[in-house]
Amino acid sequence: MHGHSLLILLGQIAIILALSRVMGLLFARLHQPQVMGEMIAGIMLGPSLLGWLWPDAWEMIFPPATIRYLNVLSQLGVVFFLFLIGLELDPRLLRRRGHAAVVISHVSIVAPFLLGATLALYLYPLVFTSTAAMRFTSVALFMGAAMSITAFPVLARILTERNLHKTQVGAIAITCAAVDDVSAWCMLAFVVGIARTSGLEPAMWTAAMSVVYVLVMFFLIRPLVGRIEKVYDRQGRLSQNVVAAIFLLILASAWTTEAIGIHALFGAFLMGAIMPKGTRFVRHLSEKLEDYTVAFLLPIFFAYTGLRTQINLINSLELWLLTGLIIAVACAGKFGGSTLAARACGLPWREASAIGILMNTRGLMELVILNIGRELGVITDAVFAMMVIMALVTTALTTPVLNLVYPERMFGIEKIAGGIGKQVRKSFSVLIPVSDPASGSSLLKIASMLAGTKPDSELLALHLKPPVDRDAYRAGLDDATAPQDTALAPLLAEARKAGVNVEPISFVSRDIADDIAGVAQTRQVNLVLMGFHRPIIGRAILGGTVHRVFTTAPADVAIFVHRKFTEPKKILVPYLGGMHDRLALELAERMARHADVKVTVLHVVAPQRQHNATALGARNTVKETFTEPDEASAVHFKVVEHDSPVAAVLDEAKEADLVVIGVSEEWGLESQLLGWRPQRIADESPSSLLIVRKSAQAAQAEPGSSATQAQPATPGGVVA
Amino acid sequence: MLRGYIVYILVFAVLGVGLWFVLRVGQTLEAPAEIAGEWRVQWETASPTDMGFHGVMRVDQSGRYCTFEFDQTRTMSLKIVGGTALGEDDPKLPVAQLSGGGYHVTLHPTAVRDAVQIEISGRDHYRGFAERVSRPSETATAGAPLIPPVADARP
Repeated sequence: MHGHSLLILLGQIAIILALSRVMGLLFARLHQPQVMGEMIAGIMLGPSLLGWLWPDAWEMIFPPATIRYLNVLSQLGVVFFLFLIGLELDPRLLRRRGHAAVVISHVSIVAPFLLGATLALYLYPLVFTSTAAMRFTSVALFMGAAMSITAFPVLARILTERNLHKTQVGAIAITCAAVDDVSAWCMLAFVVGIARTSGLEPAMWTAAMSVVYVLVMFFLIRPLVGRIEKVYDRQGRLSQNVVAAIFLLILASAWTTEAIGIHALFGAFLMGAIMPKGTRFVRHLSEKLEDYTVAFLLPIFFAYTGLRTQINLINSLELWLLTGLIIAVACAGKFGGSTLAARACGLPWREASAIGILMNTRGLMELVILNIGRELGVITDAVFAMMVIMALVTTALTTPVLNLVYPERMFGIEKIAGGIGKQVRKSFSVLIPVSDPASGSSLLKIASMLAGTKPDSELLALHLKPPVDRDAYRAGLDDATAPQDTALAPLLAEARKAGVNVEPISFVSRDIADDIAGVAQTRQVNLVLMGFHRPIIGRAILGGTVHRVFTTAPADVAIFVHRKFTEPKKILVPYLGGMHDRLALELAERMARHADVKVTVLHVVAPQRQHNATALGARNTVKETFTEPDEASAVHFKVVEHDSPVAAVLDEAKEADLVVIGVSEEWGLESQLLGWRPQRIADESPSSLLIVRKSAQAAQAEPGSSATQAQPATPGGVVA
Repeated sequence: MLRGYIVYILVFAVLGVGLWFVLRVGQTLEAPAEIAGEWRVQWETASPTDMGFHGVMRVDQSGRYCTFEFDQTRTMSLKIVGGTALGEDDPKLPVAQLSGGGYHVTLHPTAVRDAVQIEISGRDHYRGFAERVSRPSETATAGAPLIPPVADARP
């Protein structure tokens, strides 16, 4: 490669990676699989868009002479990607499932395969050409195989994102996809063998060598991989020698299948499939390979596919109608076949349809198979473009149609979080969303002080897992189905030690604030107690997600800001009389009731003002709140004259372990969506803070108050 | 369990019978002959350069649907509507008759292997001799059938 070519190639890759990331993120925002965006990015860079809109620039960026380098990289990417897919394939997934799943999966292959082959009867005289590679047998088998593919990684990703993987629908769909995966690659190997050979003798040779190859893989290579794993276990790390050995095996396997005549990709897939499953070695290996393959090589594959996709070849109404027919047949075979089979196995129509919709996801696996078909000369350029459109349409349809047919309320938060029907009314319940495992024990300590040890109080620990970016092309099922949530582990360990009963809840969430509010609503909790993490954008503590929880949660909310927090003995409650301040008082009273703490209620008034009535009102409220005689002694009411309530609180906070404070403008604590304004108490308080806010509904119900700001209840008020 | 086995047997029986039927019927079908590739054209009539029809003619083909491109300057989308390319057996017929976008293109067989006489009719009439210099299937697989030479069939 000349230096000039290298420059062009590096530029091409940079453009491909940038556009692929941008489009992937954009589509993820639209609740579409990330891979959809990356596939579209590839098409955008090809003759269908860039080459059409700006042919000179397109030829400058992608001169024909350099396309072969992209081809090599994309082929390599797909080889390693297929290895990862094989690695992900877990035979235990198939063994655990019932008979229904196996029947549905086979019907979901047979029906589209047969319909695809039948469609070839109509398409062959129209859009295929009489060449040696485009014999009818090859075309019919290829169309069948292409129609019956399901994108296992995309499907698994959709399942985990929507928390469907733990439902019956999800379990059946993932099993069917796994069976389809194995079947499709075996079918493809068969089709490639048929397409590449002419005559009985070469076909027999290919078949015989394929059997020998599979036997060698299972009886020689698999034990060898077992030995390599032992080396890994002994060393306790994935050394470069081990990685090199695995790479060599992948390449040797791919080379062998290519030489036999059943395509390199089958070799890579089988190498992944015979690897040990669910072990640390495999996980470590896949992590090493995944980033490079998924983030670097696969976008090049999409771009290369896009460069070969000429949508402008579909240039007449007839051809667009044929494209529509291909899409209809693809959906009828996959969606129709799976749905009917699931219905025949006794699933209700809605669940059966959901399985059909999920199985209709073709994603990038379709692109892989189409590229093989084009490379073999089994399909023409126009058919390639039509089938690429079919892959895009069926993948894009999955999420919206699934939302329509099987909306989240059918399996949503109510079911995951336990459901309202299951609930017995508790005296006090606290929901503790945990994102940082380190904050778990502090939050538990506060929650225990608030709820006490009464049997009818309830603590719920919630961990919402965002969809993991690095698993975009893998199932991510290992993490999603892990019995023990590692983020909740410290909190639960602390709870066991303290003898506190905590119910853990965890699931994958696309909208953290919304799901916290959902669980709070479902479980009818009294208080949401969460930690604080400084946002990336803005300086305020009460911004971003916290602001959204504040404004949407149907319960009181408390945000814990951790500063040298151990065992709180002295609690400071700044009090001006607003309803959020009253909530702070109530929570401090709860703590005083359940733990050995001293509460100081700080009432700040402006100097040189008549404040007797104000102070009296505040004192009465404190007395009413701390009703029990024993506890009354634990509270100390203090009136301070100060120009700045914030400065007064910061002064007093030096003596306290914990400041429980209501959200209000007087304290410089306002909840803001973007959080650009600094919040001085939160920033400068030397002691830990519990910033509390009455529930949005209660705030709106309160006369003379707004949802964001409560007015001081006392007549004089406080001048800041 | 028995019901499950019956479903299995049915599914695979349908697959076997269906596939056998499809492949059997499919053997009787013929896809259009390949006319794709690069053709060098020598015009017999006045050179239609004013219309962009000059130099190398590149034909992209997907079955009956073809795109004729002349030196990357002018493109015509055409559909094969008749001729031996569609499997018609009459030797008097042209290799292919194509139409689309107001143009009719006819490729007549010649005595020379892989060469045709080309006629383009639309607003004007052009005639020339086209010889195929490369075809796309050469890079994919070898041995694809060429347009057979016809003895003294040149008009």
